[in-house]
Amino acid sequence: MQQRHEALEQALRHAVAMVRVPAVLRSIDAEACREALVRLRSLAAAP
Amino acid sequence: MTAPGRSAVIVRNGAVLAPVVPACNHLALPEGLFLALGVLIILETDLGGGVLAGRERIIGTLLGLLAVVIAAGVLGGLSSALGVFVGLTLVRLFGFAAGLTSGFVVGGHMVAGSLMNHGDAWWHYVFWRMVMTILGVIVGVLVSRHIYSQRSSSAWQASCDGWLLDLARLLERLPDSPEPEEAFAALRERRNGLRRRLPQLAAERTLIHGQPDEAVLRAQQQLQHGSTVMSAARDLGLLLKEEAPAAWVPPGLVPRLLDDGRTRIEALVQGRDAPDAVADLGRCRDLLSAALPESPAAPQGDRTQLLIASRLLLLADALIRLPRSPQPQGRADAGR
Repeated sequence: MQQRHEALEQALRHAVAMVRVPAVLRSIDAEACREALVRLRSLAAAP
Repeated sequence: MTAPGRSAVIVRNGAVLAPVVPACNHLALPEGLFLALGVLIILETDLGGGVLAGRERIIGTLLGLLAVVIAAGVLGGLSSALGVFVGLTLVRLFGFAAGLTSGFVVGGHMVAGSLMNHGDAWWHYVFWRMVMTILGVIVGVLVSRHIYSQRSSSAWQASCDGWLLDLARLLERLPDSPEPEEAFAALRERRNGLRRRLPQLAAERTLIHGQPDEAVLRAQQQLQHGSTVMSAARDLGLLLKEEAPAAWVPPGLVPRLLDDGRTRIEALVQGRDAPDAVADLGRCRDLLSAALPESPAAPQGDRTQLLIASRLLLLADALIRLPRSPQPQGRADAGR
């Protein structure tokens, strides 16, 4: 549960930053957000 | 509010309410108790909170009246239990539709009080209760506005300034802060509390000026840019613990930017702009933007460095955009 919470928080943090950071650096947050979401999905699928 | 301030409000409320109940009795106002209750609910809190509470009470009362009329009219000769059931259900449905947070309770009292306690005289009860509630709210708002008025705007601004100052102190010791996560979690809670109190600030300013004015806009901007400073600083704290800034980041830029940030926030809270700090923040932003690698699609190893740069730019930008707080004199004027 703790890991899921952390992954969700990380995804949200990068998603919010994507809206705010300069366009040239947006892809970094987009990638980090995607990774956090993939991790969240794998944690949700785990028993 | 200070202890003498609290005492003064208690004395004011007592002095206003003590004559209201005997006056209602003396004038034989029908359901006059609800006038006193209307006054009380407004005076219990500050002006903005009172306006919101009064609005809930009036809308809840009107919806209760509507539900009683429908329940009593449609079910005329049927049992009061069925009437109450229909009335309470309608009040809940109306309350949801009107977006009430507590007013439906008053609506429920209208239904139960009329159909269960006043039988055939239900119309007399609901009509006069509605009239007295509206009068009570009007009297309460007038008293709350003109006699030892407690303003949401000044209380909100004091809380916001405290939050910003603590954020500035955290910026000052950011790289070496021992428990930054806990400190940021506490700041986030306080920011959420300020955000929750925005509606009463807007209600108060609308009452005074007829529409949400520049004070509400400034409050929203302080929260927006202050939140960006907070989240950028929080990320920076974690990233700088992970890695030191790369060689392409201009040397000394991180402490310089954090120091400018602290200076800028402290000045803003005092109602000043700190133009030197703003100019230096702009220079830091330009230096860092110019130093960024050509292609941001960097290899995995450089991502932490790009995130550090991203948060530094975000921090500088939010600090520049953060508006200044009204000065105490301005606050007093703004509240009147």
